[in-house]
Amino acid sequence: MLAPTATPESPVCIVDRLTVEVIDGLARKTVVEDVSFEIAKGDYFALVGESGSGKSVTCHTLMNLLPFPAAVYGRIIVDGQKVLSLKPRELRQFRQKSVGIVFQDPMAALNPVRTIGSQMFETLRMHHPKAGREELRELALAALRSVHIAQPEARLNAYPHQLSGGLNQRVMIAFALLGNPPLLIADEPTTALDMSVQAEILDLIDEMRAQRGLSVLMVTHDLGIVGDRATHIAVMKSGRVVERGVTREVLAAPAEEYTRALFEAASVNHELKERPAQSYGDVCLSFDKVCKQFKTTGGKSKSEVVVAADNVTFSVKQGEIVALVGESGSGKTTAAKMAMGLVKPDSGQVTVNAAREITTQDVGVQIVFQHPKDSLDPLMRVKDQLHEVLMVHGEKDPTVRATQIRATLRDVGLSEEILDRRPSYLSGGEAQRVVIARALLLKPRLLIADEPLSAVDVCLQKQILDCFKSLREKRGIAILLITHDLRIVFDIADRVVVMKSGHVVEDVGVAHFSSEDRDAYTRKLIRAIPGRKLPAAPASPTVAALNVSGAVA
Amino acid sequence: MYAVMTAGWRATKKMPLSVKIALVWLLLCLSLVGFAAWLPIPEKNTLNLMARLLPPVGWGGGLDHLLGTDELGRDILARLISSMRTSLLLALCATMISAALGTTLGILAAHFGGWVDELVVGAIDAQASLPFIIVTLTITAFFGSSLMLFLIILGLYGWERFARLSRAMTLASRGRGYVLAMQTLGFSWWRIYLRHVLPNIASALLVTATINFPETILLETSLSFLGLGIQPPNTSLGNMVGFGRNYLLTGWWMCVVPGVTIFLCTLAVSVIGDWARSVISRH
Amino acid sequence: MRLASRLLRAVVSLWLIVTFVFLALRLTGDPIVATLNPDDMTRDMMESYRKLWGFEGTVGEQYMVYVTNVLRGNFGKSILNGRDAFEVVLERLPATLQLIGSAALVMVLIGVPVGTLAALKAGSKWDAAIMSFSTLGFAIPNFFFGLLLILVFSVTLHWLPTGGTGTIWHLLMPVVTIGVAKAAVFTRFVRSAMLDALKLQCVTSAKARGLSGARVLIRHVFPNALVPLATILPLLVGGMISAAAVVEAVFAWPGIGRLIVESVAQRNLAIVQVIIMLVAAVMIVTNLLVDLIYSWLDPRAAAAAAN
Repeated sequence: MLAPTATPESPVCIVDRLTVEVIDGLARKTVVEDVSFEIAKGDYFALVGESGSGKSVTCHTLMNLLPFPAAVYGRIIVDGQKVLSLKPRELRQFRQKSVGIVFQDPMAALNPVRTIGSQMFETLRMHHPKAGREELRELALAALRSVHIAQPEARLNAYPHQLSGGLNQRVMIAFALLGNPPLLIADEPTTALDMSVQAEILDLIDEMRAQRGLSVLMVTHDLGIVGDRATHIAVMKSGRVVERGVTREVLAAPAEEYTRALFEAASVNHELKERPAQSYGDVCLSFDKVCKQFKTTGGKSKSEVVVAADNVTFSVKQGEIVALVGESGSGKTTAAKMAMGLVKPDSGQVTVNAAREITTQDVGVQIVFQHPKDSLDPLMRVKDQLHEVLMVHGEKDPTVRATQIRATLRDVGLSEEILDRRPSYLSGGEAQRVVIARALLLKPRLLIADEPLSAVDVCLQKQILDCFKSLREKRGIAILLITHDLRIVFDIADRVVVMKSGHVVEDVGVAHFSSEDRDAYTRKLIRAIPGRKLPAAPASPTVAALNVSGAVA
Repeated sequence: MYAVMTAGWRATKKMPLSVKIALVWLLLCLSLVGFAAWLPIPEKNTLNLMARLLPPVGWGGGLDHLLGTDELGRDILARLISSMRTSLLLALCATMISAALGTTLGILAAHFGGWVDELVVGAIDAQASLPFIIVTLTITAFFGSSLMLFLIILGLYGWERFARLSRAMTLASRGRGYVLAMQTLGFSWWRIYLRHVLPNIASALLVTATINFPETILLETSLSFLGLGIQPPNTSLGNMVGFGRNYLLTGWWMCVVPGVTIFLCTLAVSVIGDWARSVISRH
Repeated sequence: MRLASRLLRAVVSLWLIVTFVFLALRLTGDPIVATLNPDDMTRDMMESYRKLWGFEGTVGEQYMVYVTNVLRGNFGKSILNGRDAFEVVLERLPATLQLIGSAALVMVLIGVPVGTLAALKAGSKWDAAIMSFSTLGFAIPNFFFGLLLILVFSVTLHWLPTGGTGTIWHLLMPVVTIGVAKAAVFTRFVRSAMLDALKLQCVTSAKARGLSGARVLIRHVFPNALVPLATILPLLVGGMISAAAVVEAVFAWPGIGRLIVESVAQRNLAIVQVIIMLVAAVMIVTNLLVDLIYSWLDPRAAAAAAN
């Protein structure tokens, strides 16, 4: 048995010059380099960075939980114990008593083939070896109640797939706190959840921290989530901590360009202005009482009906940027597919450029998907893919094609050197702009963008948004932007259409979007915006220039 | 295809020894088959009753018959080469048939969905759980044995692997990827499948072929061993083992030589396939 | 409800097989000539058989009579000795069951621990060695492996009988031949199912709660690995039956496998018919069983099917 040597004053967690190398055969790759930080008792410490920055590896190392062979250097002391030199038995004790961890996808973090109760009793039995069945049951119920789970008795007999994501995450938090640890690690705990649930989970973590005097290590890619909650912050990039300090001070004067970019992406644009109505042209896309139902074949014979669109009515005018907002399952992607002619409505009329019958051959509408690399053929050079588009549409002269391609690349701010590359050698931002360029080659009047930023590096998101804005200015193109991120909406949209389970609940100009007389659901979404309480981002000294971006590899 | 080639080329440098040996063995087999006519070995059907049941070199045999002779004094090396030609060629053709059939069905199922998909998936499930040797035996019982029928039966073996893979990969690319994008760019389905989807799944199909090929050899040789596949006067590695088993006491090499050959051929292809799969999955 | 629809599917599958066999029999020409040996009988005898089995009248009528006969277990008589085909096959069943059952035991006893070891030590020398042996086991033809065993243990060492049945010594070589070959395949399946299960987040999360390694393995990894393993059961059963056909012929084992090989060679269609239907029934029941096991092992599947 290990006696914790920590005194109330000493930090709960000390990470000192931590370096982690992944071992792949004979090769070694450094994923975390020289990372140091301390978390004092009661601190809310945020580790912020994008995927691949090494933040998840760092927090897995804190529990000695790395899923791959790795060489770890440095010193980690949690709850007074040197984590890296614990023997297997001590390590188990340490994991039971000293740290609790919550993962990104709560459904995956719970065993899908066993009930919540059976997994809970199994864990409780370690903490209370002498407890009887009834006693264990009471303890489990108390744990579920403490994270505000209604009907805890019924949940004990449920399997994880029978509970919602938010409920599962509550269960995970209950699990993490069963051993009353002084430190809770939360690894992107809200990323897999719907946005209206995210705030509830974050509030719950806050509550647990206040109630139990917990220290929290919050790992996230979204500065908005922690900007108004964390006491301390460390920003990671490519395995290193680039900036660290008290949250308020870091945000007031970010020293690093990278921090500033994260901050900008996280903050809400507070100066909203609506463009005058006359600056728009004719209606180029309209939905008129459109209904669509899907039958999901759940089992082998029976099926379930999902309403993807119920009396959906809205329109997009030439030169207008309309944001279509909703949570997953709200029907927004189906609406986009109907506008493309990929899905036929059951009833009602979808009209594009005054044409009633939409086919996929209609080049007047083009779409940009969420994953840019996925929408390019991975085997073909960019040049061949762009030429192919024009070739299919009858342009036989290669020089004419080359001229058009060059002009379009300029419009999206890409240099010509990317033409000879294959998609795997493009950055996310470049790939997304190649996809946009490919769509623009057909001179569409409407561009549909389906979550175009979610796979793009945060530093480059602004470039994509600027690209959309300039296309609207230069080409008068209409853009239907499908997103779950309301911050983008405030930044770029003229009008917002909110969908909820197949219904349009809101259709309003952006200037009035956040006023108090909006639909209850809209207000809930706006309240759930992470980083809503962040101060405005300090003005960036460099104007993100489209012309230099081609050099970003 | 391109990815396979470049990946293959780059990986040649750090190819494990086992893969190199496997490649050398297969090349040896193929060149024996290809250049048999120019090699100084006796004709495969020449009887020599004076030289019956001669053991191979190293077990008391002479250089005239490197791998010994059979009960009628025929040269085993010559018969082995002719059998290899039959077995390898049959397995290759059969694998190509099943790859073509399976891939087409898989893509069609993914493209049309609905009842077409259900039909194909049902057929895949049924085929996967069939004990195929029993099926082949049954068909042979009903319709007799002919080389053409035998080839068709072998060609039906394993198509479900290709179908399952191509269906899944086509569905995956249709669902969210470049295929959807190309559809909206106004590309025809022909162009999308032939120019974009097929090249992208080719490497996975090739790896599947390296699993199917040795299994087809095993199926063919098993049936020929039982006397229900390749019939005399044609020889296959399987029926050589089948005839040889009667001479286990007096001429073990008659069955061991072709048996080892089958083993080494299937092993070589499997080793190469395993390696190719690990190279591709790393990319 | 669900069980009923599955039973219905099973019955339909069986009916399809019966119809297929009927059509195949018709395609071979005169079914009487095909199932009986015309050399042994007079014209009158053939006519009376034709009447007896209903191979008269239109194809539809013949089909009805055929299905009725099948339902009664009346498949015709063996051309070899005129005995009832169904009886002949049933007689051979225990020997095959004994062989396949023992081989399955060998397969599981080798496959599960070895596959688990390979998965736990993935990427190590152990893993590489196990996978190499698995490749060897897969690549060697059943019949050749059997003959090698005979060559070594019977012909050279005189330890074991070359074939036949009677004692446990007779059983040893055929069981090893099938069991080892199938274990090679099964080990790979176990390894990949375990690897997938080990990668699950819930396994990491169980470790993070401080559960012991053995407990994580038994209560979290195994239950998840069993789900994909259950789905390959029909594949394994089918493989066993195929292997039995070949290996029984090698060791002169008096089971169904050797019977079908002999019957095909003699074109003894009555026997072949019975064996196909038997195999088909076994496969259909196995598939039915897998459906049930699957939804029992994985509550998500049960939920998806219930919707």
